[in-house]
Amino acid sequence: MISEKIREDFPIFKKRKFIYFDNACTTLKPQCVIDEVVRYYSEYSGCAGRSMHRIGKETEAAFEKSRAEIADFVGAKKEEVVFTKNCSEALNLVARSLDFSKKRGVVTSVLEHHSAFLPFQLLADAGKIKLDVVYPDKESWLFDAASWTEKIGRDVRLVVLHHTNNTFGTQPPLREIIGAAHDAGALVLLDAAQGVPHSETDFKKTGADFMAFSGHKMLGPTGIGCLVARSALLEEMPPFLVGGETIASVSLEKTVFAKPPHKFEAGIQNYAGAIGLAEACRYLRKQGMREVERHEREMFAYALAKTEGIPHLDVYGTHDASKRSGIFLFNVRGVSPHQVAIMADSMKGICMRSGVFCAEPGMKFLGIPDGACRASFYLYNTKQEIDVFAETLAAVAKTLGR
Amino acid sequence: MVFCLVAVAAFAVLGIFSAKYRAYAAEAWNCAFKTVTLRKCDTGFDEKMKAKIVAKLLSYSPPVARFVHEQFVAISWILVASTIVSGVMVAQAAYNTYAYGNCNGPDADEACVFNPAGSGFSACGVSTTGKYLRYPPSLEGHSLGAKGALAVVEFGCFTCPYTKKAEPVVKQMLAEYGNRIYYVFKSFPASHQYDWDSAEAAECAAEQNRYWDYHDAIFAGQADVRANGTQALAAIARELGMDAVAFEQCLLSDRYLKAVNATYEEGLVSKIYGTPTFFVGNQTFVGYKSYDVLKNAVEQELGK
Repeated sequence: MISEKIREDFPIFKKRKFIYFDNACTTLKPQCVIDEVVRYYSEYSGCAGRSMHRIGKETEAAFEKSRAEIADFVGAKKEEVVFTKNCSEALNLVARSLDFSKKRGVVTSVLEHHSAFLPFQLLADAGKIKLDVVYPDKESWLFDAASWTEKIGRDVRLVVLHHTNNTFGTQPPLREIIGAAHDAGALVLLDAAQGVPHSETDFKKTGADFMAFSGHKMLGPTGIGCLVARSALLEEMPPFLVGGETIASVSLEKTVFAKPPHKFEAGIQNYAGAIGLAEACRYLRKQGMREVERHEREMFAYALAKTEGIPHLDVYGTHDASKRSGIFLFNVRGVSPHQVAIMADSMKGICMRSGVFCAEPGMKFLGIPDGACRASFYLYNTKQEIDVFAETLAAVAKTLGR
Repeated sequence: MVFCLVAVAAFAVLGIFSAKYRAYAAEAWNCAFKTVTLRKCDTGFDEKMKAKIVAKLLSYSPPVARFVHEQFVAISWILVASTIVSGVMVAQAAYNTYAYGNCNGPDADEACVFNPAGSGFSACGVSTTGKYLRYPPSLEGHSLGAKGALAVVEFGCFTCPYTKKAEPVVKQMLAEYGNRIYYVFKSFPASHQYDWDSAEAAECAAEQNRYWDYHDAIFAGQADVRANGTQALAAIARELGMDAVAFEQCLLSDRYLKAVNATYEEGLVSKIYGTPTFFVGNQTFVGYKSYDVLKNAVEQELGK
C-alpha cells in the first residue's frame, strides 16, 4: 500500500496547491531525483568515456552504473540499454537504423502515439516499407489478438505496438501478438512510454526485441529516454546519429564503430538525466511497481465510482479497472474538452490534459475527433483529490452539459 | 472569434496596469487581427477566455454560467456593438468638451468626466442661446477691483444654485487679487421664476448704495427667495436695515426691468448658455469651477 506520506518526497507539493492529473504527459519529480541531478552538476560534472582524470572517471562510473540500474529495472542487460533523449528518439532510432531491405512489412495500430506512428509513416511515404494498420473493436476499444495475427505474415519485418495505450490506458494482448510476430519471423518494437512507468515491465519477459520509454514519465528528468534492444540486433544495426563516442577508430578511409550501446550514443550524453533516471528507478522500486500499478487501478476505479451518475458525462474505454492503468478519459457533452480542462484548472487547480493526446488517428477512429479530457493518475495521487475532481466535474457537467 | 474584438480593447486598457493583461492583450490582438482579416482565429484565445469566465461564474451562479456558456457568441456580439457605440459616444463627448467646455453638449448640466476643471458641468442651463461664447460687449455692471485691470466678468443668476456655489470662489479671488483684477457681475436671469425679480431687487438695493450687501444676502437666503419671491426679497432689505418702503416701491415699479434686460441682452449677445459663466481675459468657464481653476486662469492672463 502506497502511503500518502510519499507526497512529502515531492517538493512541488510544498510550494503550490494543485491537483496534478497529467501524469501520462509527464510526472512530478521527487527530491531524491532532483538531488542526484544537482549532485552531478555540483560535484562531478565531467565527461564519460573519454577523459582519464578523476572527474571524468567519476562521471563515467556514475553514468554506467545508472545504465546498469535502469537495465535491471526493466529486466534487461546493461549493454542492451541505449540512452536517447526521449522515447520518441528511441522509436526513431529503430525506424532509421533497422534494415528493411529484405522484408518491408511493418504492422502497427491505429491507436499508436504519433511518436511511434510517424517514423514509420515517413518510411512508408518514401517507399521503404509497407505499413499495415490494425484496428481495435469499435465498441470495446480493445484489441483482439486475431486482428494482429492475421496481418503478421512472413513479409513482416517489424510489429510496432504500444505496451499501454496513452489515451485510455488499456493493453493489447501483448503475449499473443509478440508470439505471432516471432512465429512469422518478425521483430517487435514495444512503445513502453506508458508501460514502464506504471507497471512491472520486464523486457525479457515481454519477449519484445525493442522497447522504448522515457525518463520524465516515471519521475525522472526530462531529456532522457532509453531504447532497450536485444544485443544481437544492436550489433547488426548501423548507428542512427554518429559523432564522438560512437566509434572505435576513425581514418579517412574507414571508420569502425564502437560496440553497442555506445555506438548509438553520439556526442556528450545527458549524464545528469541518466543519473536522475536511475534514482527514479530506485525510488519506484522502493515503492514497488506492483503497488504503483495497484494504486493507479484503485484510483481509476474510485474515479469511476465517484463520477457515476454525473449527467452528460461520457467515460471512454472499458470500465473494467483491471484492464486499465490509471488513465480516465472522458468528455462532458456540450462542452469542449479544452474548456472543461481550463475550467477544472480555474475552479480547483486541477491540471489535466485535453485534446487528442498525440494520437489523432486513434481519436478519429474512436469517434472523438475533437478530442477528450484525460485525467491520468500516479502514485502520489489521492482519493481526496479525486473527490474534488468528481465534484468539479459534476458542477461543470450538471450546469453546462447537454 | 468575435470575443477577441472586445478582449483586445478591454485587455489593452487593463494591460496598462498589469503585465498579465498585456500578454492577454497581445494574444487577443493576434486573434482579433485574424478575425477582422476574415481568417480563422486558431489561437484558442476565445475558448480559453470563455472557459475562464464560465468557471468563475460557476462558483457564483450556475444559471448565469450556463447562459454565458450557451450565448457566448451572442454576448460577444453585443459587447462588440456596445464597444462601438460607446466609442462613438466618447468621440462625441470629446468633441463637445472641445466645442462647449462640456461633454454633454451645450445645453446640458449633467456631470462630465472629461471636464478637467472641477466637479463636472454645474451651471444653470439656458437653452435659447447659440453655441459659441463671445466676449461681453461691455464691461458695464456692478464691479469690484480696479478699472482697467484684468477684467473678470461673471454672468450670474441670483436664483441659480451654481452661481451661489461660485460665490465663495469669487470672494476668494477678490481677496487674493484685489485691485489686480476688475470684477464685473452681470445679472443674467436664467433659471427660476423669481430670477428677474431678484435681479431688479439688487438694482433697487443699489439705489440705496447697498448693492453688494444685498447681492451677498440674496445668495445667502437663496432658498427663501426661490420659495417666497418678492416677500423674501423685501425681508432681506428689512434685515439689512434698508429703507423698506422705498425698496418695495422700487421693486413694484419695475423701473429697473430695462436695466436688467440690458445685461440679459448682453448675455444673449455673448451666447451665454449657463450660469455662472466667467470671462477671465480671453478664457471662458461655464458653470461652477473650483478656485484653483479660476486662479490658474487669472495667473495666466496676468502673466501675459
